[in-house]
Amino acid sequence: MLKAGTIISNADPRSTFTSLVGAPRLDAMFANRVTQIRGSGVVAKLHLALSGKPEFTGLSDDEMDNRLIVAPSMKYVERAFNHSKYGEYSESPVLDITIPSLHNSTLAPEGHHVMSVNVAFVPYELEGGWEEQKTTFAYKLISQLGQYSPNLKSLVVDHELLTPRDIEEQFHAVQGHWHHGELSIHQSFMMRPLHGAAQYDTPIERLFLCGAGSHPGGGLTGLPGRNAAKRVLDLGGAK
Amino acid sequence: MKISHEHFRQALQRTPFHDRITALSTTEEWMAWNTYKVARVVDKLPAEYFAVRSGCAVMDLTPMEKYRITGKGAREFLDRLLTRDISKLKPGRVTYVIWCSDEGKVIDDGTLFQLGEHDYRLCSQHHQLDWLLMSANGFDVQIETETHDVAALAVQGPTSYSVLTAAGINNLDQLKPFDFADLRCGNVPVTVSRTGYTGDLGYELWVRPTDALQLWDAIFGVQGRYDVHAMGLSALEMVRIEAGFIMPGFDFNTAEATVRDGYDRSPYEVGLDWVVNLDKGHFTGRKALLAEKAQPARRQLAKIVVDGNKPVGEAFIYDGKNGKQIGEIKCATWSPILKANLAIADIECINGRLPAKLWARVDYQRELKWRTAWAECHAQSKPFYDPEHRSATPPARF
Repeated sequence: MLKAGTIISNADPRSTFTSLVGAPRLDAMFANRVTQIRGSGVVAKLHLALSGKPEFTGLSDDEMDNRLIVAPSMKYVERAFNHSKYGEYSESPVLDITIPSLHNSTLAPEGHHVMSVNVAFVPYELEGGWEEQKTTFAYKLISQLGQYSPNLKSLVVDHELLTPRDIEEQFHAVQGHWHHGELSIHQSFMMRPLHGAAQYDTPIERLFLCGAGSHPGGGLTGLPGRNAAKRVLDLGGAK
Repeated sequence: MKISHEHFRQALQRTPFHDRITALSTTEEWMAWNTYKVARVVDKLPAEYFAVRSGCAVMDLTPMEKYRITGKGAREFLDRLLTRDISKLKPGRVTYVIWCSDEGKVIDDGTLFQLGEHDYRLCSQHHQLDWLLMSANGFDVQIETETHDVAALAVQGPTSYSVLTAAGINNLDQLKPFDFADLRCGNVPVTVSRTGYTGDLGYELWVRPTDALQLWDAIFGVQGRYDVHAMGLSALEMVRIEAGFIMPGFDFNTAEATVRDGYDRSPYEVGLDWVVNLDKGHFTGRKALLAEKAQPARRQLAKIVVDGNKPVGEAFIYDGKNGKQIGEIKCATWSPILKANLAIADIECINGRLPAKLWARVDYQRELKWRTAWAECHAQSKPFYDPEHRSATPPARF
């Protein structure tokens, strides 16, 4: 039980309304709309601990600290996505790679590096379940990365793969959606996360939303938080 | 729920009482009610009307939507669904209830029966399963449609108590208004509630469909000693207006069926504030109703007596003879027992109150020629007809 004059939640809206507030405390149609928020996670995160700096074919040393995207063509992206519709993962997914230790050397021991990869179109519900297939998938991803970074495999000290299911378990984002709800047009702007809670205040008096589920959505912009703070102030400040 | 897979071969389903009503029907005036074929008039409308007011009328109530609501969370579920405080409801009692949308507009009304500790039956005018299931999210509750599994009869009128007693249903004498009890009619188990939609003394009888005809025959078996009439929905329309009972979906648009903005109605606008309790805790629509209550009323579904004896039908209401149009009549009847033109009208308020002067422009026909007459209207706060014998316990014997 939380007791405060004002509560500002950066939890996923579905967790906020369903698990924290509870449907019985909401009006029926609003509670129903919460259950209809579309947001089944489709992005996994692969962390690699590396004993040295990886090299990427065709990239100079200076270019390595950018976001490295593996998406050779629109057709490739579409094919990669297709599998997720049927509860499968793609053998050739879209990858979004960064090496954070190039920017912050304290993230790894001297000479070592960490790599973070967003793996797109990885379904929350995998046919046959994640338990059995997670390690295989991680190795397949490392192999795929090896196509672009020939020395990577020999540098891997350890790996961690967070599927949408792991993201849900560890961060309580419903269905492991990293944006707390799809950024589709019917869940954007004055409909994010849903009609009735799109201006950061909610049907529950003095309960506000400030997380990725609110406009303008996830990422590291801080904008939902800034907007929520402004709304709290507009409605009389924290009490 | 048991509906034959062949049901589509009939445009309308037949109730378990259908054969008996068909045998009595001289008019063959049928109509549809919730996918069932029911009588509009069985024999003669005046006789059916006067049976309710001075004898005993029997009406087939089977098409009424019925929902069984069970489970440990049933009471909490109902508390969140309904606008009314039901904390005093207990097994063996019935209460009149309404429920609202998030926006505080009436979705439907009905009667709630508490059958056991975690066991309720909700009867409603319109199909409600989707709204009930949607509202069940987060509650430990099971909801099932019982409409086709329970046959029902309304037995209404000053002699209804005596008729049912003569038909072999005992222990009705202590049944107070809104009580119900599991009784027997011969071998037939029958649940009898002292409820109705007529504003008179009356009962509603709930039986298994397989027992329906036996119950009907027992009641009509007292013919000769008592005058018992089968009644259709036309007579019901007359008596329910006399009693001042409103009908969602007919006298006002219900929330879930309204498309146009502002065409639905809140409980305050239809005179149902007495079933809204804003202090009982959260329920769907409470926030909207709190906001509405802080504002002066915009409109009111008012009971009005229209001067004269021209049949009112559908008519506009004005703030004076040839004045500004401020409302419309939603239902009307000539009341034979009160010798008055009664109507229920949706009227715009001025500063939260009904205007002092109300006039109806009555368009009527004389030998197929339309004429117009102006009639002054008088708003009433009480039911037009509310006889003492309606609530006397035990009821008078005849």
